[in-house]
Amino acid sequence: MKKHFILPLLIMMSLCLGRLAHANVYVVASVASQWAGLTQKDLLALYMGRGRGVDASAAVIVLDLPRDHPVRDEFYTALTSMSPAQVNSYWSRLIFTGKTLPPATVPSEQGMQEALQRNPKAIGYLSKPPTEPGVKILLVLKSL
Amino acid sequence: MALKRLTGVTIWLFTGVLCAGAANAQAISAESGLRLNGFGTLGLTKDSSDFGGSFRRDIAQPLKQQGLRGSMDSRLGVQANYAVNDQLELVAQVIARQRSSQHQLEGALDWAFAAYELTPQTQVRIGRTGMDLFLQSDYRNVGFAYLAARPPVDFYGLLPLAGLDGIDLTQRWTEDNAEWRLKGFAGKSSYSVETGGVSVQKGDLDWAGGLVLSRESHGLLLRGTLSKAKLVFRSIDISNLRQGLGAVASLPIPTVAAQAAAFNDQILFDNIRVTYGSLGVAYDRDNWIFTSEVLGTQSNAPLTAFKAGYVMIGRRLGNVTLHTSVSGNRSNIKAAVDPQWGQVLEPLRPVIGSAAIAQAQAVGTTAAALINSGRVEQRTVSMGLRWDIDPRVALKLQWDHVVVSPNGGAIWQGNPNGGRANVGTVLLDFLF
Repeated sequence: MKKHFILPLLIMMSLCLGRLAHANVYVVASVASQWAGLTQKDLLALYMGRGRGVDASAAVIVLDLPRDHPVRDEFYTALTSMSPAQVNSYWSRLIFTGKTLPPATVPSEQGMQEALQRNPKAIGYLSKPPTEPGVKILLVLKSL
Repeated sequence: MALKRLTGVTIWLFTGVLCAGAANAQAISAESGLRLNGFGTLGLTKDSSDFGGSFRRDIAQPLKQQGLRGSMDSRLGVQANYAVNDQLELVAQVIARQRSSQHQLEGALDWAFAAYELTPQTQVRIGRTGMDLFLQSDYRNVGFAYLAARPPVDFYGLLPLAGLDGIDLTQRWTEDNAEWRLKGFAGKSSYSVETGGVSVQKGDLDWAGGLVLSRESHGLLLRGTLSKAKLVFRSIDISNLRQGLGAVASLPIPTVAAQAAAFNDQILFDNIRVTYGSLGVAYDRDNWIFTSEVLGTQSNAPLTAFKAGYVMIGRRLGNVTLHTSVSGNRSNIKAAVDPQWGQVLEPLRPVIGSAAIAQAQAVGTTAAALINSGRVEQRTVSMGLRWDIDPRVALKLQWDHVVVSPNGGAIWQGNPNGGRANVGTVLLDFLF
């Protein structure tokens, strides 16, 4: 009987390991961006709609992946420790009261890199270190 | 008038740009463009009361028969955001929901405003926005945004405000790891009340303005609001009743005259000035949720003045959150006792005649009934759960037990003696 448990157990372990291997999320911007790095607190403020600038002098364009993109869930969980439903509930309070602008969405991670190359004021995130030239890492978020 | 014209122009301008934006949506870059978001609720509610009153979400909803209903909480909303550039954004929100019969069309556009960021921390908005009086009033139609089936009716059901046509200015700043927000708003709005017995149906806020101060830090939100409004109920005609009370007040029986004059003061429906003050606290940390608000109003029209409050505690267990709450409200004015003017005026029968005495009694009874039908005095205990079955879909179950005091059933109507009621709700809240 015990044999029957071995395969599901292996599958579960490999899924967990697969998740561990992709746990980091890379917060990125154009190499022309004025920031050399970013604290998690600043990032939290930007992505949770609490002010659009790291400081009062410069507005930031915050880029997001589509809401059904798996990397988006990983990013918000790593950043906020909230479940995707909690993050959506929080954002629905901001969006539907017109309190703040929802982050602009780009269709894919490739699209994210291209948008960052075009716009030094923009900030985004990727599941892997950037592959395109002209994009730098500001912060690495660990979701464990 | 100037303000009305300004907000009207903003609404039309923004509609035009929005249409243009929609037509060119494909061409707009990711960083500035049109974004559509939606929310909705599919709900079923069953109520039963021992005094003939029927439950409703707020006093703008029509009074229906008790029983199983899908219309009370079900609604669908769509919001369009169009970023013209980094600083300027146009926002519109349309909600299909059960409304007062008096506001079918004019209330359909819930939001339509232009938001301009003067600095990353300062925003000004012109057009139709929400009336940001309490913690949940701005998003009370977005069920996914809160824990319970609906914001507590004892607290939120009494202010069925439509959008505020006007202007607001918000300043944000950070101090000691806390996010502060100060907002000032001013504008016009309208007000809708559906009652069973008396024909008060529609009112206007000729002017409303206020200040909101909030502080958020580590999952704790504190918020205070102070606002003032000048309002009038347009569709009520109580001139005959006022005339009758005036005549009784001139009679040479001091107790009756004083009572008639007091009734006349209490049924003020014109040139009403109200001040609202509220304090709120919301805590969400370590899977515990706590929300509480208190509200006090002052007014020259006693029927628009009341106190209300609620406390809600929730506990998140994975995707399921259990919650329980208590809430209550009470009009500032005491219940009017049906006056026995017929008996007291008996000695005047030879002078004023039987018909006048009967008329005086009828005027007194009508005035007392009118005052009492507008009073609120009820308490609610609720228990429920929210199950997030998907990051964008929540299933909610809730049971409410309500005790309505005698002459305190303005939300329910029914028998003025009040009584007890039970309300069961099952609903699905979703975002799209």
